[in-house]
This record gives sequence, C-alpha cells and structure tokens, in this order.
Amino acid sequence: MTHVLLRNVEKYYGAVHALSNINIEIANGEFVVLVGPSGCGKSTLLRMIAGLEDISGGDISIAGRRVNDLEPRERDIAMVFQSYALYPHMKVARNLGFSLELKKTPELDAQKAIANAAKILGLDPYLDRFPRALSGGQRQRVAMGRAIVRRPQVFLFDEPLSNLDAQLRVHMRTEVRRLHQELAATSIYVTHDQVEAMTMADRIVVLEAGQIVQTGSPLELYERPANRFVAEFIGSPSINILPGRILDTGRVEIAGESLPGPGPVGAKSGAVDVGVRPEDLHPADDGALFGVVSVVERLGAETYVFMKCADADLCWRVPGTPKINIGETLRLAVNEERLHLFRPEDGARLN
Amino acid sequence: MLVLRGYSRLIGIFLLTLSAFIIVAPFLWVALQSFKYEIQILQGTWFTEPTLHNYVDVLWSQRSDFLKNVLNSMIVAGVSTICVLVVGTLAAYSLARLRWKRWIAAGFLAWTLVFNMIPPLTLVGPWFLIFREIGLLQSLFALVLTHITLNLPMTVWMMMAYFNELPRDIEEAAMVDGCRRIDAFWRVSLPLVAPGLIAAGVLAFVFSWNEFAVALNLTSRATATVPVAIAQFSQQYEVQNGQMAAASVLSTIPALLLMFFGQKFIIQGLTMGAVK
Amino acid sequence: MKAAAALATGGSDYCETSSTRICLAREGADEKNRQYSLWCRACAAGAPSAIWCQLMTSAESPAARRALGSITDLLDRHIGWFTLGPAILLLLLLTVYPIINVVLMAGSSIHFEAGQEVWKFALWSNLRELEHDRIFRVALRNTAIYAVASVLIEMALGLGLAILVSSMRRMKGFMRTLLIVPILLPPVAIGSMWKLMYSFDFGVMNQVVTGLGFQPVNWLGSTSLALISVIIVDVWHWTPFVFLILFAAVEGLPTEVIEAARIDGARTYDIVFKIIIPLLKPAIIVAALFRTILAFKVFDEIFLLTSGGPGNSTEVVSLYLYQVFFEQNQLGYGALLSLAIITATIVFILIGYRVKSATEAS
Repeated sequence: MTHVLLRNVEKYYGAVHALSNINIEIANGEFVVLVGPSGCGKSTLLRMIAGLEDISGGDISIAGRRVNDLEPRERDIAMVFQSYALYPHMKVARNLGFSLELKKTPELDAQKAIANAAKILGLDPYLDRFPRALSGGQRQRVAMGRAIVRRPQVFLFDEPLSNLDAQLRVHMRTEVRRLHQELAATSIYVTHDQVEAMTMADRIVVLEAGQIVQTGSPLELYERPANRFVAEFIGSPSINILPGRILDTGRVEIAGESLPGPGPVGAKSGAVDVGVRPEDLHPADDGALFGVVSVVERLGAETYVFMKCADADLCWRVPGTPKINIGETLRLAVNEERLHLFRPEDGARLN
Repeated sequence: MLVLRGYSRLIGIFLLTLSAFIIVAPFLWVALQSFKYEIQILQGTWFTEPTLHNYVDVLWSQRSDFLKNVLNSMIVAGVSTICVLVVGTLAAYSLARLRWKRWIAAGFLAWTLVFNMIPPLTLVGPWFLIFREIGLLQSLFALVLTHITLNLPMTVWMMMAYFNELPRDIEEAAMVDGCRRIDAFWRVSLPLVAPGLIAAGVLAFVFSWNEFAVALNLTSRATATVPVAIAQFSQQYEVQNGQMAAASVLSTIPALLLMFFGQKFIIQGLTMGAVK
Repeated sequence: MKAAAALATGGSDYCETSSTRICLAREGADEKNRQYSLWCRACAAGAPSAIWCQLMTSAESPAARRALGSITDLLDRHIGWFTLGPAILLLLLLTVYPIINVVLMAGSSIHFEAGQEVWKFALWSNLRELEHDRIFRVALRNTAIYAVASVLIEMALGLGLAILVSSMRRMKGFMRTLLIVPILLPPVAIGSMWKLMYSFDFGVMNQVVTGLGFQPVNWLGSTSLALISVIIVDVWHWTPFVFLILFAAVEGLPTEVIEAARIDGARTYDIVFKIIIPLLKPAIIVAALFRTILAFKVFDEIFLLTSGGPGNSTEVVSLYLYQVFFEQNQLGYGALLSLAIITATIVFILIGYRVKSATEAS
C-alpha cells in the first residue's frame, strides 16, 4: 500500500533547478533512505515532504492526502533534525510533549505518551533536565522521542546521526532500526553516509545533482549499480575502476588480457570502464593484473591491499591477515561473472 | 592573552589604576559639591560638614519641578521602551525570518541606517511643526512617539542579531510539531531571545531617559524631562552650582541602578553587533 | 508570509479549514484547560519560561479563547504585515513624512502671525543665505575637528585600555563595570558636571592646575581652549564605549594564535602590534564608525558647556541647527540646512558602501 507518494516533484531556486522529476512511492511501514553526496538535494527533498520548503512542481501526498499546500503542522509528520533542534527553554519532558501540548491532548494521555517514549529510549532519568545538561547522544534520543510521542504518519530523519561520535553512531544505527521495527512506522531517512544507508534501509534512493539515479534494496544497489556513480558511492572500500575494452567476440580485455566477460553486454566493441569490487579479486599465477603493493591496511578481520596496476590504483580485500609485504609483486585475477561494465562517456551500466 | 611581567606589569597596573581614577574622580567631585552650601563651593573648600540642602531644594523647593520632571521622564522612558520593544522585535523577527522581497528588507534597513546617522535636530524642526499642527506639541505623547522612532533602528538591529543567532531548526521543529508561524514565534523564538529583549530594553530605556535635544524643543514646563530640567539649572540667570550638582547626581541614579542589575545584558547588547 | 501568499493566489480555503479545525479541537479541550495548565507549569517549573507558560495559559479563559483563536489566526495569516507593518508605519509617519516636510520647508520662509503659520516661497533667498553663511562653515569645521580629534584619541586610549585590561589576571570585571558608567550617564548631566569642574574660580581642574604650580586656565572661556576642553569631555564620556567593544573583541581572540606567536619568539611589542591589532581590525573599524556617527551628532554636552561660545569657537552643526530653528525662528532656512546635512549623510553612506564593496571585492 502506497503511503507516501512523490510524483514529478520539482524544485527551483530562482533559475537553479535543484530537483527535477522526482518520483518515489513509499509503502506503509517502509524504511526508505535518501542518500547522495552533499548538495545533491536530498535534504531539500525531505524538507519539501515536511513542508519546510515550497514545492515548485509536482505533487506530494501522504496517506492519500495531497499535502502540497499544507503547513508542516497540518501534514501529520515528525522530523528529527541534524542539530536535534530541541527547545532550549523547555525541560526534556516538555520537549517530548510539546506537540501534544499544541494539539491540546488531555494531560493524562500526554503523560502516558511521554512516559512511554522515555521508556523506549531510556530517557527516564533525564525528564527533568534541560537539553543543555544532556550529552550529544542523550539529546539525539530526545529528538527521536519527540518524534515518537506524536505517532505521526511519517517519520522524517535529516542526517540525525551525523553529529555523534563514531562509536555512538554505530550504536544508534541499530537503535533506530530497532525502533522502526517496533513502531512499524513509515520512515524517510536522509544521510550522506552510504554505510548508514546500506545497514538501515529497506530501500535506498540514490540522488545525484537533483535527480534520482537508482532506487532499490541495499543488495540490489550493491550488486547491480545502475551506473558508475552508484557503483563508486556504494561500498567501502570503493569499487576499483579499470580501463578496458570490449572485443568483437563479446569478451572483455583488461590490462592486455582478454576474459570471458560477465554475460550479455548491451554495447558494441570499444573502450569500457570495468568495475571490480575489492572482494572480487583473487591471487592467481596467470592473473591479468599485477603490480607492486604500496599500502597494506590490516583491520583484523580483513586486510586491504593497495597496489598500482595497469595505470590504476587497485584495492584488494582479503579476509584475515595474510602475510603480504609492501614492495611485493602480486598477480591477481578477477571473478569474471561479477564484473561491472560502464560506458566511459556517461557512466551508464552496460551489462 | 598578553602576559605582562616585572616592570611592565607594574606600569600596566599603574595605568589602569590611573584610568579608573580618572573615570571615577569627576563623579565623586561633583557628588562632593552637591553636599556643600553654595558659598563653600565658590570658595573651593574641600572638606565641609555635609548638607542635604541642595537635594531638598532640587526636589521640593517652590521654584523646582524636579519631581514632576522625574515622573515625566519615567513615563516617557517607560512607555517608549515598551513600545519600541514590541515594534522593533516584531520587525526584527520579520526581517530575520520571513521571506520579504529583497528591496523591502534592504530598503527598510538602509533607511533605519540613514535615519540613525543624521542628527536628530534635522528632524526636530518638522516634528515641531507637525505636532503643532495636530495639537500634540508639548505633550508627552509626542515625545514618546519620537523616542520610539529614535530607538527603533538600534532595537531592530540588536534583535535581528539575536534572531539570526537562533537556529532556524528550532522554529522548524516547532512548526512540524504543530505550531503556526505565530505560535512558533510566541512560544519558541521569543522566550529564547529574552536576553536580547532585556538588553535592548535596558539600552532603549537609558537612551530615552538621557535624550535631550528633542525633549528640549518639544516639551513645555509641565512636560519637561529630567535632562531638560538639568539644562535649565545651568542656564538660569543666577547659576545655582550646588543644585546643578545635586540634580546631575540624581539624574544618574537610574543609569547606575540599571548598570548594577543589567550589566551583563548591557555589555552583551553594546558589543554584540560590533564583535561579530 | 506563506499564508499571505496563498491568500493572494486564491488558496485561502485551507486557512479557513485549518482555523475551524483548531477551534473544534479547542472546544473539546476546554474542561481540561485547568489541569493542562497545571501540567504545563509543572513541566517548566524553575525555568524562566514558567512565567511565560503561565501567561500563555492562565490568560485564556475558556470563553475568551475562541475569540483569541480567531484573532491569532488572522494575525498568523497576515504575519508579514503584522510584524513589519508597525515599524514601517512609524518610520513613514515620523521620518519619511517629516523629511518631505523638510524639503518643502527648505524652499520657504515661515513666520508665525497670531498663532498661524505663514509660508512664503523663499528658496532663492534661503540658498543665498546658505552661500554666505559663515557660521555654518565654522560649525562644519568645528564638527570635523571635534569628530576627528575625539575619535582618534578615544580609539587610541580605548584600544590601549582594552589590551591592557585583557592582560590582567584580576580586575577585568571590575574595570568593565566601572567603565560602563560614563556611557550610561545622561550627556546633559555629564555636561553639567564638567561645567562645574571647568569653573575658573572653584573648578577642580583649576585646583589641580594651580596645585601643580601653573596659572589658572580659562577652560571654557577662551576661544583657543574651549574646543579642546569640550573634546576632553567627549573623550572622558566615550573612551569607555570604545574600550567595551574592543575589550569584547580582544577577549574573543583565539588564545592559540597568541600562544603560537609567543612560542615563535614574539615579544610583547610584536604580539600587540603584529598579532592583536591586525586581528582586531574589524572591531576597530566598527567602533570608529559608531563613534564618528555619534560625534557628528554631538549636541547635549556642548549645549550645556559653552552653547557654542565663546564667539563661535565651539559652534557645531547640531547646535547651529538648534539656534537657527528655535532661537532665530528661521524654520525655512533651518530646513535647508537640515536638507544639506541629510543629503551629505546619504552621500557619505553611499560612498562608504562603495568603498566597502570595492575593498571586499579586491
């Protein structure tokens, strides 16, 4: 069931075309992440859904109701801001209950809702404090609690974790996900962090320069990126891009060696960018790629080996901690069936 | 910051003590004179038996309207401060937060800048004629109006600085939470700029209390404010130095009180725009 | 503003619905109002917002609430004009309209006959008077000397004091408190205080001078000295203001930069002149601007101290305007002078703006 629908949404700032032709359907209870580099328009889109930015064209509807001309307060949404935007002059309890206060919710119901939210988020001990007396993580929870208390149609998150330190961020990631499972509320989550997107989303919408590049589940995006941009954006360490050629025979040539190629290719022979995930490499005596190891990063569970190869920087991800030294010459082969081919001119996917 | 050691530190302390003395000394000397009889002042006697004679004269003598002047000043400063806070804060919020056409916002601010730079006396002439025309000349109401206008630019700029410091997110969160624009202003933004309101209020009050050029020309004997009265003390045919000193000392009381109680806000207000 | 725009484009119906919806919601909540306000107060207890909250809720009796609701709805819909409108109205009535009046007056001569204003066209004679007005030229010159001298001295003293006080470990708060006093005193009171102090016969200034073994000085009575005496008062009055602004700026400087300079081998002299003062440049410019504007407008103290005398030695622009308007009753000619000053101010601002944007561009 479609819950939030964006149809042909446009945004202009004067002559600047900030968002063009955005179409997204979000099902009830779905957790959708809008991801993209900074300046791609993802926050603007979220703020348009919230009603904080005007909509230049197209329609946005929430729960079957067109909301284009509604004020934020009339859209029945809740939003968690990057800066948390807690009311500094109100204690935590009143921060949580402010929306209910505005709705003139009866006192008992309001208190119950606040107590409930506080329990879910572990905020009980802090209800009587001002936001300034809280740590970053606690403030973040209050911001989330404020959204939960309302039981809105849609939760909007605007990079809510980016002001936390790394460890807390990882923790809150699972926390948000857990909350979503408990509340089963439709959520739209904006982030520039692809790891956040991959770990949290039911579905990811990748935006670049005001346009949707690809929509899909995290694995779909990882395994079949629609273009070179998505391939490079999703996945860490980033995908290796090597210059290559498609031969008349349908085979692919990298570094002077021809390989069977990853199945049907929608292009004639010619130059091509070949994308290889760092884990799709393996050592082989007759491997096409060889080079000198320049950097070795050992993370414990796995090791990243960086080397110079065929005029490109290559990263190889090896499980465990194999004995590889800097300066060593390695010969690697690729898993042919897992190659990604992109057109060099515009980065479109070819296979 | 800078660290001074040895001799230079001693010199520094000496210079600071000297400047503190220079700031305080005139005030103390005048206060001293206010407790002397006229003849002692003229003789330049330093230490005498203190007398309250001058204060009694200023406050309660037949020839003096000083208490009436104080009342006038209180009314004018109080009313004009409240009004300028309301008008100025609303305007500042409007300019800081609402989407005005560029030329309106820029025009408004440019005009307040121009108005703030020209000497008020250029406008006292037409004010005089206008208020005379509508029968408000020599009324406290007219003086209040002019004081609101004179303090409006400062109030608008100061409050704009405070509103601009307030993150927009907070207001947006309130609007998502169910506030109309006006609720967000009243329940969220306004309480958060309370320090700014105090700072602007204190300064507007002091400036209105101190204002002389306009009050001199738009008031009568019945509506004269304290500065006008002090000027009259020194312009009389037979100058009463003791009374002049006493009136001056008395006129500084509100400023001194505000300084002790609102010091933090005054400093914030006076330095805010300049440092950023 | 958004709502106002929606209204203008014919989208007003949603406003109607929203207001009615809110009214309905309110009716249901009326009986809960008392508890609600208690709860609200309890939540905010101890915070400054408690008073606010009380104001918000207790002021609304159930009956008055609906009326209040529709009023605030109206205000919300026209929030742009409701917020900026009063200020614009005030400025139109009390600044723009009077300035239009100034323009009209400038071309006239105005007399009062039996309580009635009599206006006559007199642009040419007014202009001729301006052309030959020696006193106005003296006033301009004195104002310029007064502004430049007092601002320069105040900047130097204020800057020195600010850096000196910031280098002290203690006394910072005390000095700051002390130095606000002159700023807040009524200028008229300052004028009258200094008039007593400058008194030839019994003033403390002459007591100091004679105490040092010199002849007593006629501070306000000699044409060569009066302007200097007046400038001294201004310096006493306004150096604290410069100090306050620059002190806040000095305290706001990043400590690391100065520490880095000290480690790099900078001596006190280098730190002051090569680090602190260059970093303070924006604040210095702002303080100087503020002070120049105020010095240009000076009236109160000079009115009290010398009334422009002796001769015209302390005649300044504002004082001359006052004399033309209210002592000589030449409203028309005074308006012409005002107009000249207003025009000059605007030109000055425009030039300043040009220079500013030019320096920012380069």
